Amino acid sequence: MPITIYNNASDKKVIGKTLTQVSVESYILLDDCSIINPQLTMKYASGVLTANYAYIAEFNRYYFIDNVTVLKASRLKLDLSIDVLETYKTQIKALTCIVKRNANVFNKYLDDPYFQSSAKKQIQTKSIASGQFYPNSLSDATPCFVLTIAKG
Amino acid sequence: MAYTVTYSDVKDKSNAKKYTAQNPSIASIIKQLNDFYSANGEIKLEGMTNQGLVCCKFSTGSSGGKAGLANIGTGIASEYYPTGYYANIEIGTSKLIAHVKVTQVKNITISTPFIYPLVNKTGANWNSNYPYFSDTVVYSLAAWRAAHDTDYIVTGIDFYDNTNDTSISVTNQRTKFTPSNLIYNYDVYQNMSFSSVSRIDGNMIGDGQGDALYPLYRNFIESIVNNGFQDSPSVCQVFINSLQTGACLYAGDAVNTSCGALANNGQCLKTFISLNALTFWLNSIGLPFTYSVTEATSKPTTGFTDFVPSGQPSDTTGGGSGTGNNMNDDIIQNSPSITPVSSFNKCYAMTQYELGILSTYLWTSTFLTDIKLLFNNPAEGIISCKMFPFSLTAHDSNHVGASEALKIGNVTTTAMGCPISSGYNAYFSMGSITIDEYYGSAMDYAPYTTIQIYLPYIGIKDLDPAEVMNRTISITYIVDISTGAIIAELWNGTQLLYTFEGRMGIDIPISSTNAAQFATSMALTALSGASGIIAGVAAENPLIVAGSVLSTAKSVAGNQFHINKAGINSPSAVLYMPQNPYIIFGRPIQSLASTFGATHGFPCNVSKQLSTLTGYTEIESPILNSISATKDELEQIKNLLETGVIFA
Repeated sequence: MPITIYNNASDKKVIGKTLTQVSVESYILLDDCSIINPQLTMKYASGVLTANYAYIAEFNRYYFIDNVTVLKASRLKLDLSIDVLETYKTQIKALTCIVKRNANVFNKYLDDPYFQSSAKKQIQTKSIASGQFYPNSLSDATPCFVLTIAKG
Repeated sequence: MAYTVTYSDVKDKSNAKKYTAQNPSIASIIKQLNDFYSANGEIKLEGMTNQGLVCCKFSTGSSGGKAGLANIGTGIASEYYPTGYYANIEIGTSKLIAHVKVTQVKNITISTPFIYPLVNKTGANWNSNYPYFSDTVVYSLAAWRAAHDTDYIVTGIDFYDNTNDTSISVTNQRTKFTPSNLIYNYDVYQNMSFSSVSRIDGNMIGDGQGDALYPLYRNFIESIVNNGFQDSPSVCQVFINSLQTGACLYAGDAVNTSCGALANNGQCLKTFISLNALTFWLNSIGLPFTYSVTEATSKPTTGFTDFVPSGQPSDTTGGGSGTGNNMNDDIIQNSPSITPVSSFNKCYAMTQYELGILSTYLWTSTFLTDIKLLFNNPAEGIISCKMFPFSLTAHDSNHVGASEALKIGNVTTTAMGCPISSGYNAYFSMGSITIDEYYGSAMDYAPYTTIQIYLPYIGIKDLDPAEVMNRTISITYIVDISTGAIIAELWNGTQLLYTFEGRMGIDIPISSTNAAQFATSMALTALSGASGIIAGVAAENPLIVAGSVLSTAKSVAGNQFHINKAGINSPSAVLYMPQNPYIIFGRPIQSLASTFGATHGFPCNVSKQLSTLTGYTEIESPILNSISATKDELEQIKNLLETGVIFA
């Protein structure tokens, strides 16, 4: 059964990975195994040793190559784990969900627990000119005293 | 091919600030102009946020060039236009998506296969004032065709309203948007409707140089094809710029059968451009666009942020049981016709000079004899004497009478005073201030930003940033001239948001008894809030009393040198303090890594189809029942979406 070997240049979290096909090989399942973490063997191929990604058409799933073991008789054993993001990319992208955080769509007025601020603080003072009170300009001729006396 | 762009701010022509840049992108120019105008508070142009035009002229080599920012929003373009030839970049609006209609160039007929080499500076048509732009010259029609036969012509641009991007579908399509004349007052574009452009040549847009894409890349075109070339009626000139954009100027109907009947002597300009260059151009401008009418009308636009009006939350719902009535009732300032002034007592506005005369008179034997007929203590005839930091007559001359001899009881003294009537205006408008956001984010609000206000004769008070941000706060003082108490009111229009109490009238001791009362008053003022003393005395607990007295003593000592943020300052000391209010902003200094958004994303909280997103994304409790996968796989998908994935 064929397995397509790739080099994946994207982070594991990326949906829509950048894949470069290395080769298409035939494989044999090592034993009964889960489609989530299959183990398989194949004929030795040098390109596989540096590859990190695979697609098994029969399973219709993409896999990370977790480990490659060189066996006797020029064979390789591959430990795979499923990449659900790439496998179900189309269905995932069709979802409409509540987006909690995003790099490009955001509301800056929402508080962000990740934000960090310096221990320093910026202080700004803004004056409000009124000119209603002017003790510096008072003189002994300015009626600025209120004398309250008992009415006669 | 390198090129230089010189552009200038022409808001103040005499002090125009000029910029020069080598090979700038359009976006960088917009940003620089934007930064400049933002910093100067004149015009705020935020990329795609506002609609408007940037006018700039590109020039090459040493020929120089000028530019200006023209007509952002509703400004008058001509006012900002220095003399010269200008190119324009239309910024558009962020709530629009453009459908750029293109047609591939095939078998263009050019009956005059003469192509003038622009680089020939000594040629007959060369004008040294014209930019020298390219050394890529096409000398023959065959060569020109070879280079451009697969290029495209933009045949029209339709704009569609994109304010409801997430719910766009085949049955719920975007509606077409027709630009209003607010987009541009310049005669070339006034009342222009992009959607009405039906042919690619002619005088459709203006200047005899019709092209639907004209507003977008006229800046480049005019860098390479100058007005003066239109005076050569028998040549077709093709020039190539660094973006591999061809500009061809035809002369006469014969050169292009599609020109039809043309104005301006049959001259027209057509521009040819490779699809890659066009895409580069549109991306550089930042205009959301598509070449597909299907996408323009019925598909969400990948990577395009929905237009959200400022301050309008989206995808937010209420509790469901509220009335939704947020109408304001105006709060009205009261104007009492009767006040305590001059009821049982009589108030006089006096000068310090007259007070001196009164002081002397009080100790004359005549006064003492007369006053004793009414009071046991002569000083009881004087209720109080207070000083205010303003002229009582100047503030409200209508309620301060003419100077008259002061009467204490039934004794007329030699001192003169102006009687104050009951309706004395106690209001003082202390000015207003508009409090703007600094960051334009949650950082402008509590707990990050603090806002305090210093009020003369009251002190420094805390304000809630959420209550005063983006509002104009007006301050009114109400002064009780009979007691010296004041109330400061902080208004937002007709909304009374805060009141603070204080004391402005400074007691003047008239006699030793009066001085003792003054001292008591001062002490009580300083001890305001020291209720522990009273409580301790009431409880006969000497420890509480002793502790309270000690702490209060420290507090009073401290208040001699520092602003008391909570209480009332010593009245006479505040004469030495600022007499105008001011706002104190305490802002955080945010530490934001440049890759923060790519690594963590920013808070979002909107519903979106995930195909419309790019970059780091976290999903809140995704529902995956539409995905046909095993239970373990679904669990993995859920965990990954919740903890963060990256959409390429």
